[in-house]
Amino acid sequence: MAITPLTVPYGIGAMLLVALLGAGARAVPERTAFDHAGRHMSAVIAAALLILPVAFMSLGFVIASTALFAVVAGSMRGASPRAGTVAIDLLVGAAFSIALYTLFTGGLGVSLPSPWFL
Amino acid sequence: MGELLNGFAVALTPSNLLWGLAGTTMGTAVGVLPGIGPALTVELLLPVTYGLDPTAALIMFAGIYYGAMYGGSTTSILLNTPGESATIVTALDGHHMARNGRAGAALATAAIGSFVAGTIATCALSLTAPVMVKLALAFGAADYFALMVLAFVMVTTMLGASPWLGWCSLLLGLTLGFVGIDGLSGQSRFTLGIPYLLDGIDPIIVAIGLFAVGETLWVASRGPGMDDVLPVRGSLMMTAAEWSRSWRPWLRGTAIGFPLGALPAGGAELPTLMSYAIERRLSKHPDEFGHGAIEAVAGPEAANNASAAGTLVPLLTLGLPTSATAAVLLAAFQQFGLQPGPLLFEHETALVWGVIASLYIGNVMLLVLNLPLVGLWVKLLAIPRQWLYAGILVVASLGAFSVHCAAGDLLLMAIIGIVGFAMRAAGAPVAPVMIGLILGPAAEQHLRRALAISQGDWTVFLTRPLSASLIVVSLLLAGWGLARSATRHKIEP
Repeated sequence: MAITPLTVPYGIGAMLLVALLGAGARAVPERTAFDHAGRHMSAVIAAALLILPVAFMSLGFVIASTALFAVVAGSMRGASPRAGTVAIDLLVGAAFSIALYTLFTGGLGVSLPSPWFL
Repeated sequence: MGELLNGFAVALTPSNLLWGLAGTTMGTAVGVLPGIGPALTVELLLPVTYGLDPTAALIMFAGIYYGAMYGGSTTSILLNTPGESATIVTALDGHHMARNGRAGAALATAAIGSFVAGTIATCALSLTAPVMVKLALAFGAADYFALMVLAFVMVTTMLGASPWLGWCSLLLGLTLGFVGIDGLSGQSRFTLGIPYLLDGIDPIIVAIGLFAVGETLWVASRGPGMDDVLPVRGSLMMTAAEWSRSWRPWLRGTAIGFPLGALPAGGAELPTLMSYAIERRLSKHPDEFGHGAIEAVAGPEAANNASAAGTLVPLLTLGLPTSATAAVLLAAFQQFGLQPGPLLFEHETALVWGVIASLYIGNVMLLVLNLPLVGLWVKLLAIPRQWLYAGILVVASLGAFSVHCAAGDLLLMAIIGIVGFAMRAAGAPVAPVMIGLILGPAAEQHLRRALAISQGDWTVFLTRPLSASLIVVSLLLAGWGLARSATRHKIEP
């Protein structure tokens, strides 16, 4: 029996569906219980990551990364955001992002996006 | 021997020594951070090597890999937060030792044991690699395909809560590996009409998504909170009794770790567990196990580091990654246009032996970095958790973007990260995804080549003794795994 370029991928895809059904039909040994705060924290981080590509290309690496840093740090802190902690997260995020930008563009020659207004 | 000496000549040049030192230092610094295992450490630091020549970059990588292994034990002992499954065993008794005021002795036996095991295992790697290369040159396409099937079966059977979940992970990795244009026919596969997918899915993006993003989402989902870091109390000099109780477990751990690390069984998880069980059986103080037995730190740490060198045997000689970290390392090789395997030893002799020689040097550097400077690394554990994971995501997104300078890679990273989080929540292992992704296209190529040579005759896999043996072992192992799962399912409904 000869195989075409699609035989193996489609065969594997079909096996994946069967395995997913098989795994779903069995009781998962350790089903994880998440608390409300944890669910909220991971949802905020996932949302931030999904809009990151747009922010990255329009605002540039430094601003987008600073914002990502502040959003992730703020959500992982768990408590309601306060002006003081947000400002500190933004400052630390900006310092970290600028250091990385300098290292990668200046030191390693990697091209990173700049803000659209520059 | 001459090749190894030439390797030392390469590794001992001032610039390569400096890259090796930078790699071991960064590997330790990142590896010591809580929840970060060697695979994530290597992946996070991958962008730092862009712009270097391949030899310097891979020497740096070897340092990062070993540094991450050393750093992981510090976190397990002082914070009880293993960065990966292989250091869970170290955390069991190491953290108890730290609580009992013997953190210094626990860190010392882990560091010296890692040095002893790393050095002996690197010697074993230097001796076995040329033999494996000779064997590998005699491998045909059918043998390679059968070997990869065995790797798939072992990884899915050994890792995770159930073989079903292991198979799901592996098949997901294989499916992702087939995305893009087929190299032999030019036909597009699983691209869904999206031009971005025609080039295929880069393993580095998948690694970043699964390990960095998936891990961060997983940690976040557990809610706020922070483990206490225990102070380093007690002298870092081990007593005569502690030396006496440690040296045999170091050697036994090495003997267990190296060969098991070379098997495609998912890395250091199995050797560390085996070492723990054996030490418990042989110890004169079995009652101390689980409460701070030094043998329970010495043996598994040695097994862990020896398995790291063992992992490099199939990786370098056959191009076969046997763990998630090895899969990321293979992706790093491919990033520089290098394909590990027997031909790499023929065409890039200086590079391969330079990297192997750098492992000897790296082990010495790491002993110096880890014992006297442990107080410095412990300070890194004081970084607030929210800044640590925010920093990880910033570096991860930078790493993902740097691969092709494409915004699409960032979106892919986020999607795969969410999948990685869901897999963790379901108890599915993530290592088989990486192994399937990287080995899948190669396995398909060998399958098609073998069938082309045999003119479509499928019995080619059963008429060659090596491939037939490997296929039989794979079938037996898969059957055993599924039977074990079914039995467990009946007992624990």
